[in-house]
Amino acid sequence: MKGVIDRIENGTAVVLAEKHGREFVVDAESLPEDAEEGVWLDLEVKGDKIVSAEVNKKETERRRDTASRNVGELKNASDEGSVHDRVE
Amino acid sequence: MREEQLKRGVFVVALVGLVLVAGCVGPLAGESPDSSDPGTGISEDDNGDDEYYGGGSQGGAPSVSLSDVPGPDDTVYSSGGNSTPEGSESLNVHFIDVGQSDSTLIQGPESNILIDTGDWQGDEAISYLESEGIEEIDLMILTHLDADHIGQADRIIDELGVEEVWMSGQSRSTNTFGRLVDAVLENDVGYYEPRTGDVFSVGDMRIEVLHPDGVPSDTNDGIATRIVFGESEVLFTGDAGESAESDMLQTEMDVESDIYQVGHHGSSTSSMEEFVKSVNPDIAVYSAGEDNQYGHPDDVVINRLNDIGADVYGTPVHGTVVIEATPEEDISVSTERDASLVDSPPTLLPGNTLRRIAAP
Repeated sequence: MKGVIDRIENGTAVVLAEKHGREFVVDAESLPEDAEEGVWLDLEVKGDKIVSAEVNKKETERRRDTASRNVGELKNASDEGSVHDRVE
Repeated sequence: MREEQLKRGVFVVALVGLVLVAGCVGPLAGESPDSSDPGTGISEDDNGDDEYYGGGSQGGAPSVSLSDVPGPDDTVYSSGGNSTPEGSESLNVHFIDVGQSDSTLIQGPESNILIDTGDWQGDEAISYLESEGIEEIDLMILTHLDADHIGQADRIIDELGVEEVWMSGQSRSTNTFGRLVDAVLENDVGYYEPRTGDVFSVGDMRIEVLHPDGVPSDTNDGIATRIVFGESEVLFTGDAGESAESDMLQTEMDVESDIYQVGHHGSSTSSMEEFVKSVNPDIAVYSAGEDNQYGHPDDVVINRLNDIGADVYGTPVHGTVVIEATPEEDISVSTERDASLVDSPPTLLPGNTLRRIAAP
């Protein structure tokens, strides 16, 4: 299954396999060296454990592009500024 | 109002005995975090059940209250009472028990603000909002894009009315973030990226933006706000770490607050000593999961907060914590669950009446 590294905190990585509704909390050092936040992985899972993880560069790039396009769309769709009253 | 306060004062005295008999209601003193080692092996987090902790924060929830607090040593505690009368002119801050995650509802007399939205695998935040009869969120602030902070944002936007959402300008390559963006666009929700120094008013609340001053490079870093309601203040820093905290101290904006949501679920990467001393809260609340794999909260942080005289509450211990604050800075705390202090290590502050009553 595919998974994405959502966050790494104090050496602990949280890998989401969102399509499967699953989350794995793992030692970041057990993941490939270039596995950082936002990287997509091809996972082999047995039971509740990840037994192997490989960086999927193509998917990582594709997803990162989509994510920055998403933020761009948010900015474009909204008027400059907040609807709430600015005091200062 | 004054008369009510007085009546409540009488109630306080009457209930002191009850506190002794009924068990211990109150904040934590140096609670020991679960010391399970987050660094061993690979395991699956099974915290994903749709467990629902809500069910209303009032009506029988144990309650302690402090009135007119000049300093921690003069703190007067009471127990009991329904702290949120209908048509209240108070601010009600609901630290929703969303497990190892964050979601806080700030309910003003006219407007609602939601800061973070629980974990992607749960539904505690949206269930709680529905059970509280919240129909409209005037402002949703997503401190940063971790899936334990933006998790239920898309469903809340789809199912409740959300007028505007604030994000820092970061992006994340998760489906959870993609669904959030879709929900914002499909529902025509306003979008704004607040920056240090911005001040807005939302209903009777004043929102002061303390961070960031640009799109943050650290993924934990994000939007920090101080919400001011009359004389009462509440501070939210999300998962911001040491460097963001020192940035906040460098600005001209005031961080001092009555109520502090303990940064990063009580992790020792946040709540630096200089920072918490400047915030100088009377009440601190952390949101974390029971027996979580991250060791949150860190004992160092809890002790640091105790040392500056703050009463510390935590969602793994107390369940949902609701704090009512009046514009005159009268503050009372209601918790979903009684928290027994019997198992806590004896790091009680000499000035704290409640803890003395509660200790066996």
